[in-house]
Amino acid sequence: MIIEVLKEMADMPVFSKKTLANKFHTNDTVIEQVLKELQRMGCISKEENNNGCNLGCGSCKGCPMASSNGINSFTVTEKGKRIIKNTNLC
Amino acid sequence: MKTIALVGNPNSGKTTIFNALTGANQHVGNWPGVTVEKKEGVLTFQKEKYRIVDLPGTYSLGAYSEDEMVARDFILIDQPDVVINVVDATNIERNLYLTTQLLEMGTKVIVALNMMDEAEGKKIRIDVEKLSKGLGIPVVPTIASKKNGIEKLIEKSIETINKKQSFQNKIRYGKEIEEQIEIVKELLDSLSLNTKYPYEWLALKLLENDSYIHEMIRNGAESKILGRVQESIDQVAATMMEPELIIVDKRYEFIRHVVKESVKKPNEEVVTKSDRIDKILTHKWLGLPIFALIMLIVYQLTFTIGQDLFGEMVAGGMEVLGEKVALLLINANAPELLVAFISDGLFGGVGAVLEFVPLIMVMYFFIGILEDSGYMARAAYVMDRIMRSLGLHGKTFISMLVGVGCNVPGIMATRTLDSKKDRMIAMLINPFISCGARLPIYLVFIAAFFPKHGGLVLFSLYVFGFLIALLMGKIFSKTLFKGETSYFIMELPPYRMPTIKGILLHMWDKVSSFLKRAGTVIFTVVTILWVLSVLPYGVEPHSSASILGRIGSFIAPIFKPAGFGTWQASVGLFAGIVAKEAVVATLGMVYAGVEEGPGLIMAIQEAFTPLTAVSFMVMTLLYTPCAAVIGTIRRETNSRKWAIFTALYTFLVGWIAAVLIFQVGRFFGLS
Ligand SMILES: Nc1nc2c(ncn2[C@@H]2O[C@H](COP(=O)(O)OP(=O)(O)O)[C@@H](O)[C@H]2O)c(=O)[nH]1
Repeated sequence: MIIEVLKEMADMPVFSKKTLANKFHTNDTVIEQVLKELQRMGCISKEENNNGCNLGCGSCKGCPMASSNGINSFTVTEKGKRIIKNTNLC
Repeated sequence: MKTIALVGNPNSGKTTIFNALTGANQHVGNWPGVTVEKKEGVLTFQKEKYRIVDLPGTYSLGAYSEDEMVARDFILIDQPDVVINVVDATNIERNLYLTTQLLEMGTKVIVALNMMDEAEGKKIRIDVEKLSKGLGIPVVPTIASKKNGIEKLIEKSIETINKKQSFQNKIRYGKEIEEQIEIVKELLDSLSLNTKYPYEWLALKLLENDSYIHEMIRNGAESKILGRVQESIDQVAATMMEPELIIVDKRYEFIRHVVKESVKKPNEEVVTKSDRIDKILTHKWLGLPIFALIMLIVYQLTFTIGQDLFGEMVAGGMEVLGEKVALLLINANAPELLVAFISDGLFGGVGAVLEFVPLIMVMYFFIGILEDSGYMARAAYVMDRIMRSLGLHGKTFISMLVGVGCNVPGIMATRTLDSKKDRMIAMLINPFISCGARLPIYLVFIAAFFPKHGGLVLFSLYVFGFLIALLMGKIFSKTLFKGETSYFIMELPPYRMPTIKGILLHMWDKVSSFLKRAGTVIFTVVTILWVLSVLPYGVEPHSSASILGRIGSFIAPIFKPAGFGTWQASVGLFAGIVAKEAVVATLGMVYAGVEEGPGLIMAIQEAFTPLTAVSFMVMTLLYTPCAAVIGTIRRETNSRKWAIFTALYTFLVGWIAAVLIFQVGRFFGLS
């Protein structure tokens, strides 16, 4: 499934965990885990585009600013692209 | 004493089961060498005592965190007699990932299928028998919070401990991987490694590129086998892909197979409500108009609520306060100069900026709602398409969104752009995005000339700045920075109800920095300019004869073609290069002597016309950003050249736009 998710991601400019989960008949926490694995293996990279909170209070844990501030994005890395290419060949 | 270890995902109910097993008979310590908490207890069952060890809650047993390392080392090295894997029945798929890794370790495992009550509530039907068969290990349903199933869990654990062999199903990784596992395992067998890790597991981990295991072998006496392992990895990678990917993939496949056989979930809506909303909000043609409409409404509401409701209150309060303080000072026989400074400089200048705080609060309140609800990510996606079609990177828009608060973090936000070309463009065009500090300028001019159309004017200014940014971005990508634009995948977060706390924090984030600047930078600028406007001693204060007036008169001719070639407007713009709020503060101060009452607005009505008001607003929107922004560009590009370039080219763009507006407007007979 992890490879399928990678392929699916490479094909779309935008995704939500929910739609991916629906596609694979699973739930978004599983997708989250799969994305983490893909990230760990260097197939995708994640960038958190933080909105730059200036409050500087340092207590980010549980703060809505920290959780809602960023727009997250992913990039399929060279390794990821190579894997997709290889699987399409076999 | 036999040992039973507990593992499970966080929040699976592990602690509850641990407490149910041990009662009060437990103690807490630390795992050696790490800061992870270690909990141990003793269970007495049918007169026999068992040591219960609660391992840290983890989602997997890799080498990615201390928690994971502690758990897996305990299982493999301390070798408990049985491992109870606590599985949250409401999220069985995710929880079973850990289970597959336990199966790979070859230890005796039994599953405590916890939260059965909640699973039932969610209409998730689990065939425990089939699940047990699929995994090849015992499964005991439990409701730990009600102590249901605990007795059975203990019995099954003891039964498993006493069994000779553990029956479990193997995860099939496919012929290629299994062959290589066998090869590496035999290689390990032939050596005498100084480790307690089982060789089959070691072989798997070596192929999986487990950093810790690789490190361990590399530092050991048999590091030469790593060469052979790499050969195995390369061999598989050459024909298929990296073994690590295949291994993880097969684990998921195993889980899916098991779950398919044993779990029935209610048919989840395939198209969720949020999907349907997204279809509209991110629609190819509708997405942009919807975004524009939402922003127009935000600006309109900003005026209706911020200005009409709170604005006049604050403005009135500020005025009364200013007069009171001045009176107090006069009564206290304070020096005339001090009184003048306080009433003209402080209340006329800094006060003019503070008057707009309510409006700014209201605007960021609404933007906070958009951010907190998850809409902004949709807007970013809609814009991404447009940016791409212009050859710009979609993330440029995200940095622009940040720039609406302040261009400094906006420019910092471009750090997530990895190509130099994309990043340079994003930085150079960010200053055209109107920041919060420029708001007071528009607000004063809108109040003076367009009080009925505030929202529309404000909206148009933001859009105009944005369009100029796009235009310049396009020009830069065609001239200065050519090359491919990389593309990225954006995640749409789930929609959620904005929380009051979240919105207020968003708002306070922006407003607090505004206030801070009013108290520091703006105050300093106003003080310096005030001194310049009363010197040399003896001239009419705030007149063109003062030093400030002379500086202004010297610059003023530059702005004549744009329609605002007065010395006051010129010093205002000049001060704006230090900080944009200083434009209004300076105007407030230099016009303070002219009129009493809502002096600034009336003075501006006299000094400007609707047409020159527009050209002046556009100038302040586009011209040289404040010193902090220029400094940030210098730091981020690591080049003085680009900082100076930005300062100059933005000035030129602003000037050209202002002149065009004034000249074309005049040509059509506007005034
Ligand atoms: N409904 C229900 N709640 C449970 C069950 N087991 C544990 N809980 C609750 O789930 C929460 C998390 O449990 P805890 O034992 O702290 O999880 P841990 O993080 O795995 O140690 C607590 O509020 C428990 O009371 C159960 O079987 N059913």
